Amino acid sequence: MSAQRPTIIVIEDESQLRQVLRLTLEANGFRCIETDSARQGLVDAETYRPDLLLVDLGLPDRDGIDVIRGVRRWSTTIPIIVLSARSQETDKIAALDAGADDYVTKPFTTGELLARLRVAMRHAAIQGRAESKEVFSNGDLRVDLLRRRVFLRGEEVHLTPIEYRLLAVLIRNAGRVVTYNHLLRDVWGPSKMDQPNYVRTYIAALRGKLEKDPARPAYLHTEVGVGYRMVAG
Amino acid sequence: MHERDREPDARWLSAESVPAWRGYLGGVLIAGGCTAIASVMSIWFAPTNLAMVYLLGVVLAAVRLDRRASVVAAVFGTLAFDFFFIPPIFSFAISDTEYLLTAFVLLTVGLVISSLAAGLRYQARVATEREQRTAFLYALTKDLAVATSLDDIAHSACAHIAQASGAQGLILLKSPDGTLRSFGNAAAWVASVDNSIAEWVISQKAIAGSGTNTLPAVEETYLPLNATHGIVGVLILHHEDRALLLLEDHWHFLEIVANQIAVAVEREQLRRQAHESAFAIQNERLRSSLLSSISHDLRTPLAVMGGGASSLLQGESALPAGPQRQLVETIDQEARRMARVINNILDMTRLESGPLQLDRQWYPLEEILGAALTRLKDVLEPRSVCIDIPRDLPMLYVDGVLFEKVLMNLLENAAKYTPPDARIEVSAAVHRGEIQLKVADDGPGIPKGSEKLIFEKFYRVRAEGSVAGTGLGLAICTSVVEAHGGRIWAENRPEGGAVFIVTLPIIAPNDDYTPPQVS
Repeated sequence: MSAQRPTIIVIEDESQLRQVLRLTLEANGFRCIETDSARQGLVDAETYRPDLLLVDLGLPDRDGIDVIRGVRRWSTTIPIIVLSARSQETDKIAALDAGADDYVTKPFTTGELLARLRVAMRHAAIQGRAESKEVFSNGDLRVDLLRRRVFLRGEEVHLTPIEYRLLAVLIRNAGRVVTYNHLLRDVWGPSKMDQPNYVRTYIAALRGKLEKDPARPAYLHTEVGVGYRMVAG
Repeated sequence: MHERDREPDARWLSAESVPAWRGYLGGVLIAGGCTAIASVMSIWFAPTNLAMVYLLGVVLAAVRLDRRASVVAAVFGTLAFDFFFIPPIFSFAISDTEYLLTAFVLLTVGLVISSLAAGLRYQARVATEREQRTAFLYALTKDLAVATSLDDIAHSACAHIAQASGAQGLILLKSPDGTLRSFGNAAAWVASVDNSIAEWVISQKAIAGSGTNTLPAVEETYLPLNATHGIVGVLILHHEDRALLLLEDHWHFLEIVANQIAVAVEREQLRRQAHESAFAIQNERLRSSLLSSISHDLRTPLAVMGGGASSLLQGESALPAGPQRQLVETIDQEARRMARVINNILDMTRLESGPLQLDRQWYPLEEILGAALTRLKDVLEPRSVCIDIPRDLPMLYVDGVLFEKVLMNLLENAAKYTPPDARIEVSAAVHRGEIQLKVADDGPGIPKGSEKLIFEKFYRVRAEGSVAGTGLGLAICTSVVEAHGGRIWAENRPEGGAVFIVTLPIIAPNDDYTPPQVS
């Protein structure tokens, strides 16, 4: 029964916010373990082996990023979601590049938080089984990942190899934010790591081919200063 | 500013122009020369007339050399004239009383000429010195007048002193907390400067050190800097040429220089005080309007949330599901509104706290606009937003996060001041070599005359009430746009409604970025 419920460790020093998180998570069928410090959080993570970690970046004893690094040392699969204040774009990138799966900006809505949790856990589950979806579809967009073909409203769209690789990385991470560094590494390789402009240029081209109105993207959302998020199908 | 290129000759404070031995030697040589010429002339002229040659020699000595030379020339000339030309020749005896008169007149006229010529020379020298001193003071006051900091004042004063007298200067100024801070030179001798002497000079308002009666054995000379409101500090001088300190003129010069420095320092200190108090007043005004703005903008949503939550608590069972849900929705809305208000206040404090560090990157405008529209979805609805961006618009070289705030504030503003059925238009174009971005609406527009005021901090079109906000949004936009080298202003559209216009300079991608070719 209760053992069946997915376990989430919440590492957050604000007790009020922790309480709201616990109530929300428990009401939505999760088991919740609360911790208020980075050190205890690391201990709890090893003890309970949770299904997901929710980490605040500003902890009293150590930086939340240390928790991410600490967990990533023994597990690459446990999803980690970061809670951050709005103004910390560089911290968000640092957390994502340190191995966090996604972030939620405070103040956040319950809907937002739960959606991020589900995407992260689904992603972890797929990775655990070492297989991925063959076809991605969302609205008018359909991507056949085996045959490398893209269809919009049933018509095939021609993408350049780089555009396709970019789209494929975003689809593999659908629902999650992907940083510029992540895209550069996976699409162009380590030699182009200092050229985030490449990403923006190709994203603009991709939007031109896939989006009806590039300024109001339906599939490819921008998180300014952080990266991009493909809307999950 | 420091006329270092002036010749060292410009030093007008030198003790004597010709050393004493040169004067005497010159006098003797001139007398000898005159004798030689006279001996040639004695073939044709009577001895009395030869005296004139000696007079010429005396005049020459007085004009070209100095008083010493001319006196020596007069005396030796008279003796030589007597010895060589007055019978009996080759003897100092004078046989004829007529010649006695000639010799006597020669000596007297020679001495008078030398004293007159020396007087003229002295006056000429005084006049040149006065002129140089005036020029020096003019240059000093001019430099001190344009000096914009205490360091500037100290440096240009020390440079002028060094140029005029060869002395090196150091200025110690009293800080508000009573300690002494040094400005100017950083030469090796500065280490030997004694602060206790400086303090004594300040408290006694008297000079001390080398060349004075107080502690004359010290290497440096300490002069008080006496301004209208008391002593502001001490001028310390290190003279290479101590002889200067024996000259009345030099002390006079130092006194004037010290006065000029004192006046300049005082002026700078007063200017700084005035600036600080103006800043404090502005800060105070800002703080009080911030407080009143915050207290209103935070109290309203807080009251709504508190009221809603408590009625939910009390009427847990009594309230039907519909109103319960409504209350919760209101609390949620107000919480978001409050978050926006606080974000704006945080943004503003960050923008104001120091020079902006821009993280500039190349962005297509659609991308930033798209992100802003997504974030503001709830605020903008149900207004229609119409976008017109040409496909060939150059990329923006901006700080993406900050520029997103600009777009968000402009869009939020458009939503705030228009009815729900309004139409918001966002367009961009290249206009006169700039990227011009417009956010227009068809609402009531901006009240006449407030087009500039709305960009001021805390200015609100409607004083309190109907529209929530801190009055900071447009001030944030201005800070960010100006940091990018652009401009922002507002107009009323002829067809009704307001339009906010942002311009950004077009920046050509440089060597470190070449846009990849997209086929």
